[in-house]
Amino acid sequence: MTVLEAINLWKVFGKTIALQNVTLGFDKGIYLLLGPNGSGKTTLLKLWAGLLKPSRGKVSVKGLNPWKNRADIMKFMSVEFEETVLPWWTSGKEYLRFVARQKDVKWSNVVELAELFKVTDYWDKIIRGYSSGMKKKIIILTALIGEPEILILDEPYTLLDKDSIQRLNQLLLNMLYTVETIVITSHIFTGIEEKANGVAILINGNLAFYATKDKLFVGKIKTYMCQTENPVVLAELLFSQGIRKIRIEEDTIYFESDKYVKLPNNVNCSLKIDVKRVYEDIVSGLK
Amino acid sequence: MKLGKIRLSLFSMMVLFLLLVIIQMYWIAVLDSGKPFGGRTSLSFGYGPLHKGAVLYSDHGYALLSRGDRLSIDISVSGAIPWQYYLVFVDLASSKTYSFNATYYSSRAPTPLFIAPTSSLYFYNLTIISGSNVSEYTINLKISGQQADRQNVIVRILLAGLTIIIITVIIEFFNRIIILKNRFIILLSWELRTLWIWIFYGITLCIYAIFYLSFSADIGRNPLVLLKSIAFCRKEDFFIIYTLLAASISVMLYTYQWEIKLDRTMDLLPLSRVKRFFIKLLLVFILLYLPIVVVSLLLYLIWLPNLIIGNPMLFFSIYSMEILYYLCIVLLIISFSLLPAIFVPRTSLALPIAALPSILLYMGVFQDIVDFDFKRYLIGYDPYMHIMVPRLDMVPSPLDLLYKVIIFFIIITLLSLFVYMYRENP
Repeated sequence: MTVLEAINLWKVFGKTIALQNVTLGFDKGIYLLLGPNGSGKTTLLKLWAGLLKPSRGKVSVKGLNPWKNRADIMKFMSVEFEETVLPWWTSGKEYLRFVARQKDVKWSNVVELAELFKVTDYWDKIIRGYSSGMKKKIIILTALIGEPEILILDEPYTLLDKDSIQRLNQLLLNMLYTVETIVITSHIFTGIEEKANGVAILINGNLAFYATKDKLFVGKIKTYMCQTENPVVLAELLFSQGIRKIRIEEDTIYFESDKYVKLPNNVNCSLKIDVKRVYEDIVSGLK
Repeated sequence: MKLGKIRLSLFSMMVLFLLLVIIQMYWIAVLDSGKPFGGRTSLSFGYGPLHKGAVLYSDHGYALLSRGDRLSIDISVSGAIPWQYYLVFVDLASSKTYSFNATYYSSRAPTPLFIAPTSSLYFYNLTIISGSNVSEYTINLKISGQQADRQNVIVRILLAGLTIIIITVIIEFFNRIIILKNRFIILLSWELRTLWIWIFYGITLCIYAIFYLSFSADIGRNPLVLLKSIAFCRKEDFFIIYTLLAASISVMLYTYQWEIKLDRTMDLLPLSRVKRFFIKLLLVFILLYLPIVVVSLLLYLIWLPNLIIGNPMLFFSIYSMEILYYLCIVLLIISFSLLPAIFVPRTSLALPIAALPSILLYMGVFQDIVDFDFKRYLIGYDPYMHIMVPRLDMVPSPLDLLYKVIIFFIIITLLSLFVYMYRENP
């Protein structure tokens, strides 16, 4: 059974069409939901979270209708939205304690996660005085606690520092042993996309692209990721072999090729899905 | 909350609300400043032939008096001179009897003034007997009173203070001791803290304590009620304040939380909307009704301890009828404010709309439609008159009214629940 599913889904707000005829399904693993601002990503997540009722079509979470079974679904699904409002009159600790009680989560588990994200340094203060980043960590923590089966994170990396992003990614990868499905929407490519099992791209409410990892790998042109101490030298070598699509990011080099490429022994390369390239190609192609 | 381009913070809203209440209090004070302490006059005619010793006039009533309150019954009798005057006062708490008899030879006579020796519920019986054979007579009756100690601000402050302390202790008890395991109470406590409802609570208590002890007697205010006793009188204006409170609390809990998207945060937890709806409703009810129950109980405890000790059954009957009376009113107010609070998506609109139906009811707009004089019920109901002399109580009993109010409340609640459950949370 598909864990998260949308079939011929439409969502209309007055005269604005937020989603039109989207058919999409996410199974087990990490999935990325990408798209420019206003493309309908958050609306789709809200439909899965049971906050909105579909105008037409169907959404389901493990076969359940989220609009009718929201409370039941929330027992095994955690959702975090970019603009989640926190009760500003209380402390972060008190709020997390409240959430933990409602989710039946042991307080020690919350403390463990809070320490990982360094939330314990400030969680006794009233939320009103938090910075945006501090609030963001509390919001993410509320989603992470309780070992959910499905985790939906809307722009989780926004406002987070580099250290916190790395910790979050590491945690998400560890959680894959217990969490069935993780859906992430993001504008920032932090490396988690390399582990994605599927990528969906929404443009203006339409599903512009959707492919699972397997389908991306069987494409004619393959993307390789190589790590080297001297990426410029490697880029020159690849160029000399007729490869033109080369991208360098710090000590990592990405290139596309549909034929055998001879590489030096000291260079460690692997086949990967270059989500960033896929996304940029689709968005630029539409422009 | 958005008012045009101005974004009002929660604190500003609270201040605004507080200002509204203060204006309301001032308005009531102004309205009341010119009111005399109550009195009643009546004219009784009789036609003969009546023999000597015939009872010309006899009636009884009940008066809840404070120590030092004065009650005078001024009578003039023409056509039946001489006439005999019998007046009996019985303190129902201690069963002490105070009586006065006299024979008068002029049409008008200086009748004695009764000064209540203790604060208590008094029964009085007035009888006028003819001293001659007459064929026709006229009796002019005037009852007036003077209140001694009822506007005592110290008592009000004491009441308000005691009430706040008691309620705080009760809530803290629930909050700290009981809640740890019970998720329902955790959520109730959470909602209570939400939007600093403590402030609402304080306001409710203070307002109630201040306005409850308003004893302008309603003798003469309602001419339809014959010989209505000097009453433990409430001002009908408290209804407006309660309406504003109910509308504000309902709108804060149902509309404002939704508008600022705090409701959505709660939607992401495994909490059913049905449960949250009823928790909020319970909170509105507690915030409006509990202060009444507590303050009225405290009022009796402070004001009439001798009634509670001396005649506990009577006290219990009066008190239970009184809280039933308020239950009807509170349920009605909540019913009117609930649906707009859930249905209207903007706080700035929902607040006046939620208050409007109750205000219209108060103004008697629906009187013909529902065939019920609500304002008269507000003013006229006396629990002790209802218990002691039901035939004299011209307004319906809360028991008669309660089932109708409950049916109305259930219908509105179900409608509101339906809207709340199927409200999107974008």
